[in-house]
Amino acid sequence: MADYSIWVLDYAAVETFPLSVMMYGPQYQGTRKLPYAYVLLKGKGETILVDTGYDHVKYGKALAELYGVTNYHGPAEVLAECGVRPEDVTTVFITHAHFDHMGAMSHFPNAKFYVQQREIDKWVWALTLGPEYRFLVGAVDPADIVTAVELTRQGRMICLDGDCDDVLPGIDVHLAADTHTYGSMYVTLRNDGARNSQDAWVFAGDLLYTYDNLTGLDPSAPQFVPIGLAVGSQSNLIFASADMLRAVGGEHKRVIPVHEARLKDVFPSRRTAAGLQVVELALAAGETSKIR
Amino acid sequence: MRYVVATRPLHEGLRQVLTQVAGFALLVITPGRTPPMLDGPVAVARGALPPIRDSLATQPVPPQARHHHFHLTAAAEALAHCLDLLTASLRMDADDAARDALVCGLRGATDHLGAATRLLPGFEMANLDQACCAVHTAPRRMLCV
Repeated sequence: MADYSIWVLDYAAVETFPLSVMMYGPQYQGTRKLPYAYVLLKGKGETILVDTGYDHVKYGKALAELYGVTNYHGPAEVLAECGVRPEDVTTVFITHAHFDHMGAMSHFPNAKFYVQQREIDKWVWALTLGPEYRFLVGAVDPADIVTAVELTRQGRMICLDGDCDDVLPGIDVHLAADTHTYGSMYVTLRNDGARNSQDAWVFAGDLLYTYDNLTGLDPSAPQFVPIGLAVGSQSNLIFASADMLRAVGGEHKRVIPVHEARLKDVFPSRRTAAGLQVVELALAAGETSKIR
Repeated sequence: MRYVVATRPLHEGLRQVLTQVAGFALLVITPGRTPPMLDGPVAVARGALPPIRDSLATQPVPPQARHHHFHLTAAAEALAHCLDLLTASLRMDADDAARDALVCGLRGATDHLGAATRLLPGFEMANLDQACCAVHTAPRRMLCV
């Protein structure tokens, strides 16, 4: 039986998103739906999120009107689909400092937050380069950084230095330096608690947008294809993809890209009254299904 | 319209200074770390403020923009104070009170700049153009500069 229950919870979406951004290289390959989601873990007395989503109060109108992001629902409503309140969340892993992954930290008053020190250090360095380099610091909201400052002062934001095993029991984090961002990290859950786990999951943040980043589009000749948006290198993205796949024993479906609309086809899921997907990956002992 | 065109670059300048100061503050107050050498970057951030403050002081303000202008000016003042607090926090003998004051000052500057973004169109706290959701489309901005 699994140590943690796992759900992927949609909170918004772009209905028509070019595949050419999700996968670097192929142009004019059509569009896909791009959900916005975060991962919820429950177990060992912890209620954990991987990323927080963005804050609709700050950005929702702009995102909706300018970029076609639709059907936003806030953490209270989304988490309620799994019987969780924002104040129940004990830990949040911030995979990277983009506003749509750390923009809602203030919604979780009782959580500790983990982020890579390198993400902060290199981002601050990039800020000193001047406006012609602003591509390197785009999609970061200074208000989120101020929130991070406040959380750090409260002792609630912990900066991790590279790979760390057992940040929580069975949960490791891994630095993927100079990939999507300078200090992106992915989260590995060993859901049987074993060091050489037979039940491992990886939550990839934005290191992957789709399962096709792990396989390419030609089933007869699989290859890693990096995402189309990064400040780091394509090589690093590819090697990070290989590391993530290795961590789950080569079982592609266990490397979770939260922007992958087909998660609902791979795992048990349900559509909420608000039109959002709740995808259930695992249930810990004593946990009831949230999709039946 | 003329006011918005003139002040959008000023808002962006303040946003960049706030982003830099917040980032520097995060490095300074992270426990267990030796305060980094930030004198140079802080000086650059400090040097960006006077032209912005001067432009705000001389900017003609139509009545319907007075509230917005107030918040931009207040944000600039708050950021100048934050830079002083940051410099104080960089000293080896800086105490908790200095760091607490810096955190409060940053929140004040953020709130003023955030208020400005809500009062008139075309002012944003984050450059969403680089967000993954924006890469696929040229933003349909309400005002063109």
